[in-house]
Amino acid sequence: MTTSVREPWVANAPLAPGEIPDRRPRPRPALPIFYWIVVGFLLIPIVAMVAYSVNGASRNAITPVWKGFTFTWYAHLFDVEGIGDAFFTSILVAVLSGTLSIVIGLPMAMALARHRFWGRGLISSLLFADIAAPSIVVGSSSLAFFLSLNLSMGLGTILIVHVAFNIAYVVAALRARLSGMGTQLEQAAGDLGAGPFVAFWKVTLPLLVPGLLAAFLLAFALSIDDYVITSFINGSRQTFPLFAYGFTKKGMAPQVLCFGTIVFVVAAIVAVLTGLLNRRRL
Amino acid sequence: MTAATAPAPVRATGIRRRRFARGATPYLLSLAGVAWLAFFFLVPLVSGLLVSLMTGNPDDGYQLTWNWHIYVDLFTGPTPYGTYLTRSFVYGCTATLLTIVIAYPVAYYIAFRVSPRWKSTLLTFVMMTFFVSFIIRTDMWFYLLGGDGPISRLLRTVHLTRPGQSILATPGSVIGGMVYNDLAFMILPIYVALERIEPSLHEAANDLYARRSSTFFRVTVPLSRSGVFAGILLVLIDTVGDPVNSSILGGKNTWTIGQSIQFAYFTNQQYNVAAALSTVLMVLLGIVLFAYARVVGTENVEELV
Amino acid sequence: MRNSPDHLTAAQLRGLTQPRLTRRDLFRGAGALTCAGALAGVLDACGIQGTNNSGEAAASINWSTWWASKKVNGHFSFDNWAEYIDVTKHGKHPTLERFTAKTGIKVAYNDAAVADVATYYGKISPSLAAGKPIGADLFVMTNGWQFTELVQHGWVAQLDHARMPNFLKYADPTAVSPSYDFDALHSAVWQTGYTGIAYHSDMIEGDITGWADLTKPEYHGKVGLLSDLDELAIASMSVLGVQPETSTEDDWRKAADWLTSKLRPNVTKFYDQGYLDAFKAKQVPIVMAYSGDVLAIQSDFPKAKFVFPREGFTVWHDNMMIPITARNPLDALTWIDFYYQPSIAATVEDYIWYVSPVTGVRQYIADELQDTDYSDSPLAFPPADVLAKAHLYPIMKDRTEHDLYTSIFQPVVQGS
Repeated sequence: MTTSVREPWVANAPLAPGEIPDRRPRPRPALPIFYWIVVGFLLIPIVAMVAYSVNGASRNAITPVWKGFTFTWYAHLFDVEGIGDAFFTSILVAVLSGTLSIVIGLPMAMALARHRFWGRGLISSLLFADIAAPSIVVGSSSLAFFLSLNLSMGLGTILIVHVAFNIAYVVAALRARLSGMGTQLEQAAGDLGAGPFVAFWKVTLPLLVPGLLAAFLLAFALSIDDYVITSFINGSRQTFPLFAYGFTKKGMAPQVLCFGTIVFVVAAIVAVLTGLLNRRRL
Repeated sequence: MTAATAPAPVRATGIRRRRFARGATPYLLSLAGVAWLAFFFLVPLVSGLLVSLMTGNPDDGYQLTWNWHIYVDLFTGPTPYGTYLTRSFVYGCTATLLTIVIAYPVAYYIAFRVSPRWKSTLLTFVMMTFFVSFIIRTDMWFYLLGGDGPISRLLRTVHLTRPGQSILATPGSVIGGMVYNDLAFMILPIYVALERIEPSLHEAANDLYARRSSTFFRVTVPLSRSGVFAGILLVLIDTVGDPVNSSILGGKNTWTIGQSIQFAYFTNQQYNVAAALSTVLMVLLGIVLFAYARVVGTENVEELV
Repeated sequence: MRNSPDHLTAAQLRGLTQPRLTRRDLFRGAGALTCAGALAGVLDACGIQGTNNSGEAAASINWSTWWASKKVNGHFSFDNWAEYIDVTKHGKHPTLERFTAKTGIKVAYNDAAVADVATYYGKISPSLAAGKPIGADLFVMTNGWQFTELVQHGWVAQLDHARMPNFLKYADPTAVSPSYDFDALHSAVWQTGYTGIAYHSDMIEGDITGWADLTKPEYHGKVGLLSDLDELAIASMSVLGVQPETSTEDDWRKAADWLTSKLRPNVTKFYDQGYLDAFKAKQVPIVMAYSGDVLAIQSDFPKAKFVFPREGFTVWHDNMMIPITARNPLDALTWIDFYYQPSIAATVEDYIWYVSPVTGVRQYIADELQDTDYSDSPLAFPPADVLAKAHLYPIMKDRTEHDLYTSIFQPVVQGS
């Protein structure tokens, strides 16, 4: 009986460069299109804001109808009573609360990420509750608490509460970074004779800078945009969101939109710059 | 053999002291944070909850009478707090689901379909819009969707809406506002979680004859669970208790529990009612989140922080 | 290994791997809560102080000594309603600038700090009850329940008329001793106004002359009402022919029923001061509106009409008050007196189109500012027969009655 010999399959020869079939990956446009649609949707109110900030109007209120291009609102940016103070207060509170929450939050993140100790779960639960508590609950209870302590509402109380809710977010961000980083480098520093403080200062901290920056930006963004909590404990001190909210009642003043546009443009420039820097590094 | 003259006692104390110091380190490190949170967050919260057990009014003052019955009174009284609570949860859950549906593809796209050079740029395009105050953004929607605004006029021209029909002042506009304002809270955590997935896992799934959809549902989605949960946490908490969206974009039948709490506190000065509603809101949110964590099986919820 | 139980059931696998709520977790949580609760309990054991006795403290103050001890600090903070003062296209306030030029006192003017009477009162009363400054040295409060509360609790300073020569000289007779504030001891009228109906005549069919017209089926989804319970109450009681000043609980229930069954189906939203923005954006064609708000925008919206409802409407007075805890009361008082000059009051009035408490303003606007649109307007100055149907807000006996009143009308706004 003859058995047919199965010849092993072998290519006759490697493909010549000209014979390699041109197989590009199949274009799958669904996701990119979706992405750009979402970005467009996100940008619609921003475009409206920029448009209204250069739209002429006969009164100090924007109108949905196009009335002609003008820079007059930018020229009279601070004419609206209190707008400069509100904006400055917002920036000040955001910077201070961001810094303070990092100063308090970084050691806490290190403790949670690097050590196992009794109470670790408890502290984690506390931080979880801090994130999970609804703004309206935090705001009303803080007001009652401050009044019972006989404090006057103002910049101090705003700062206290902003730091309180920022700590949890800062710790969450830093903790993830720290556990991702691992302890090898600090141990290596220890082997080379560095004490814990020196190791922290010269090894951990420099490595943590991008993480610190991200945490600061997160805290900054949360603080500068907070409305509900701040509305309870601000007293007479206006922050920008509170100030803007008053205008939703009577007609948005164009100068408020000018401030918004300026912030957006600055953020865009910073984003572009960091993008360029990142690409250079990559 | 000579007995080792061990300076043992001295060394032992030294070790014990150092061990104590090392043991105390985490406590010292977290002291400031715990103290701040305990005093400025926990105590106000708990004392706020205690206010719910008081009775009285602004003129006569409020006394702590351990009035647990208020929780029954809230839901059997003339004001339909139960309806408002349910409505807020419906709005919140709908908004959260919609946010996931929109955010997941965006995060997936940036994490997997984009070269590393462009990742941060594309991410920034999305995040940039959230640098503008949300009050301004919401108010812009108010003008755009309002009767005379460009979007309304466009919809009327293409006959998608009847003349006189309002898009604003509906539950849809409130939920739309919530989705819009909280999209960043969902995109970021999902993106971070997807970023951590090794692309080689996709290749491995492919090698094992998985279709693309199988790979997605059986590999990618489970691995991004923690990111989705973090996003749900942030968005759900924010939207269920939110009074601003329903106030600016809502109508006559969109009254939410957040507005009720604000109203009870400021307008009616019924501090006990406001505190009781806040407690109920927090407890319900806590239950929902814990149930979700257990069902989906994420490890120790606290570890997510 | 062969002997190991390699076929665990799913339940066993779950039990081995899933974290569970242990007793230790519960103890930990309970412990933390108890500690916080104990601390909080200590703070709360006294409860929240009532305000019943604060009025007595204020009654014993010697007001001339009190004012003598105050100094002019060169600045003060002013909380007001939106669109309630003159404003240029770029947002400046000419009268405030003239004030600063003359006296050197700077004004921090908080536009739209007050959007709703009850909400503003709720915001400032905890601080006032605690004896703390509210942030503003001058605010504008409408006559009504909250006004009475402020006076009775002794939370506002009594005005020293000896330091207010302009007020004594120029105040309108109705402002010198209003019915709600005898001898104007605690307040000085800022504006008087009316609440009526405003509508875009180019957006709806037919004319509107009264509240009952708003219930017509063709206006479904086109009506916006104020969320102010007093306004809703008076509108509905007027339709039912009830006199608000002598109304009873029964009347209130009937009025609330009318609102819920007849008018609410046509309503799209209940607004606070934000109704004006919605109206200007043409989001809602028919609104319950404050007279001056609508009259002032008629130059931009010529088709917008304002009517005094035929069944009845409210007349209210907004008053400047100085909180007793103000840091700069004398500066605020200086402004009040500065305002009570015809030229200043007229500048404000010509912009906001309400009724001024200062005599000679109408004439000043007609002659000096030559704005006869305002001075001759029958809407800014309705004739006597129309004014006969104007009602003040009903007066509540005490908090119990007030709570009953609000509990009857609240569901109209919040829905169910």
